[in-house]
Amino acid sequence: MVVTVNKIIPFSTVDGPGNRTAIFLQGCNMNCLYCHNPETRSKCVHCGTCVSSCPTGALSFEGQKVVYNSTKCIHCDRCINVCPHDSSPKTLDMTPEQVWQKVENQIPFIRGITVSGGECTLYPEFLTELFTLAQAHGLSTLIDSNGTLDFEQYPDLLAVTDGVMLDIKARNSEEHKRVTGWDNSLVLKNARFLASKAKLCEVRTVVSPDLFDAEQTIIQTGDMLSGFLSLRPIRYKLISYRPIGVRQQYKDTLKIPAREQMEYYARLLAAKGFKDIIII
Amino acid sequence: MTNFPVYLGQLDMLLEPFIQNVDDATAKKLLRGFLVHVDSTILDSFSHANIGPMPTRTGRLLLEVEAELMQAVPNLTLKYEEGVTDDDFAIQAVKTALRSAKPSFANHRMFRQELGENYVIASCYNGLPLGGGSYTLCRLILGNIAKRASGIEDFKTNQLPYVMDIMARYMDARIRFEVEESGFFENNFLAKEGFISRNRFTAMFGLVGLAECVNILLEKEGRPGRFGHDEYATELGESIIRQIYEFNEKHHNPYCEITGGHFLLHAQVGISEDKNISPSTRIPIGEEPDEMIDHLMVINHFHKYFPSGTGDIFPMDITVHQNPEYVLDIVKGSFRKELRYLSFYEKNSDVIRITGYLVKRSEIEKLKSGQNVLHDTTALGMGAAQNGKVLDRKVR
Repeated sequence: MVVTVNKIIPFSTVDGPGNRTAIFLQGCNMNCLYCHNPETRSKCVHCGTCVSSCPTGALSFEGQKVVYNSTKCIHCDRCINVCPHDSSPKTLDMTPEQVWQKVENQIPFIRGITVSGGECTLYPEFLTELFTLAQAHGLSTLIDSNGTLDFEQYPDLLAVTDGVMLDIKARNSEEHKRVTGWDNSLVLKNARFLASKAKLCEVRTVVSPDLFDAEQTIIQTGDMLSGFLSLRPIRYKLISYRPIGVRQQYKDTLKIPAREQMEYYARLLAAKGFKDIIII
Repeated sequence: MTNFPVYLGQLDMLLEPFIQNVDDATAKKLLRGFLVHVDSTILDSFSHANIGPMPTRTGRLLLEVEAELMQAVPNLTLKYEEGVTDDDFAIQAVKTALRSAKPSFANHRMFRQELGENYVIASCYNGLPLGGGSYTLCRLILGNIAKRASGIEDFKTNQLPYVMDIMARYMDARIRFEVEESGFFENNFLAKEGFISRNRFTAMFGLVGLAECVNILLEKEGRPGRFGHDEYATELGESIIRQIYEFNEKHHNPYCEITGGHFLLHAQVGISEDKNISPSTRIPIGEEPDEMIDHLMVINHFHKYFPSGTGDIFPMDITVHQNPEYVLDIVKGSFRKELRYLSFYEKNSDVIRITGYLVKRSEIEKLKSGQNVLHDTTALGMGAAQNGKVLDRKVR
């Protein structure tokens, strides 16, 4: 079983508690306007637009395929910026065992791994295999997800998953469609299901004024989940929209929230019993 | 002997009796007064205090106060041992370190196994017996010795042994003078009042510039690769350090009884005038590996040889404030991998660790613009910022 890996960050500060190796899988089913890593959305179609833009010759054609030479790469990201398909020429096809070999190097410096994307739950069998390996070596396992996999149908995956970090991008279905292109009923079902099984460790909402009603989303999500906090503390991460990495066509239409606004949302959640609230 | 108090004491134990009967707020006020006094009267950031490994109320409050004060003096080390130092205490230490570039983390398990429980961390990061000290510190500038060599073979069989022999005999002569002729141990108040004892003294056999040494030798051999990025370079570096270690194990000095009659190896942090000489066994600033894991897996070859001190420094990204456990995980992993001593600060922190001492960036700016500053180490920091590129360390 092989998946396409966008990148592996050996030491990540921001993908869950403590030091974790973060694995980013390629491909996403949503199309969030504020996506800050759009190069993870699609698979490479080998169109070659990036080849001529590479300043160091790290990209070339081998037959019909674009190949990437990591030793020549200076990580200037020009290939990603010119890609017309929201993809990257630097991805690698890897098995769970191959990914595990990359994770193993970081023992004993890490406490766990986090798989993100793209949308990593597009590949539940891969996650199950990788997490089984990780847990056997004493590492904790987290999923970073948009909530479009019906977790209830994947008990084997859940058994080897220590926690899910779930995006709730909007509470109202119409707004959710506007932000992501998807209805959110499955996302909300997952939030309730995972919380009831003590598998929900974090909820995130990206806030951009006028894009959706952030206040209602935060209030209603808080109400929905506050009853589960006694089973397991749930971190609520309030993320201020930032234009870094965002596609040009959306960048200028989206607004950055004021710090005071974010702090107001945090107070709403604190009043509902959330103890671990982070504004970033 | 330097006239600076390079060791201030085990502050948590020392101050615990004074705050026993007061509430936290009063205790913090007292500690704040004490620390401000230290910063204003000891004008040199090589003065070093210790806390840990056991968590104490004084230790915790002291860390909280330091996080607020953000002072360059005193230098501070947390003796850390997984399972002995609890996570809450260590996390407070991380939070304080991100704001004030201290405490550093010392691998208590390694130090106590080598020096016994009664050791201290003094000056930069020097592990030495409590109530003792170092008679002297001399250093090999390894890069300069490599320049004299025709290749690796000549370096190892002729040039390095030649300089090591001279340095050891020079240190012997200095120590003999101090003990037999100077009268220091008979007359200095520290000895008279029982703070130090001659028989707890040893000496530090120092070295700098391993990176340049390895790179010069590789070049002379016509081999590709650079220190920090190449397995062969790491192996060569370790074989050089091992040779120096073995030389020291064979050399005997009659006045270093406390350390078995031998000097202790010391990875010296350099002096502010050093140019193109990397401190200790560090990877040169500007050449650090892209990934911190690769950095750690190079330096872990070297820390174990230096009981009288070595250390590496990492400026951290601002995201770490939200996840101090990240730093603690790195400390835990590193200490399992025989790393000895690690320092961290947040990349925008005003207080930063230059090499082994602390300086405020704002004070360097004041000095640059011709204003007076309080600490002499600010002048050293200004030199090191210019010559040693310490403001350009890779952020982790």
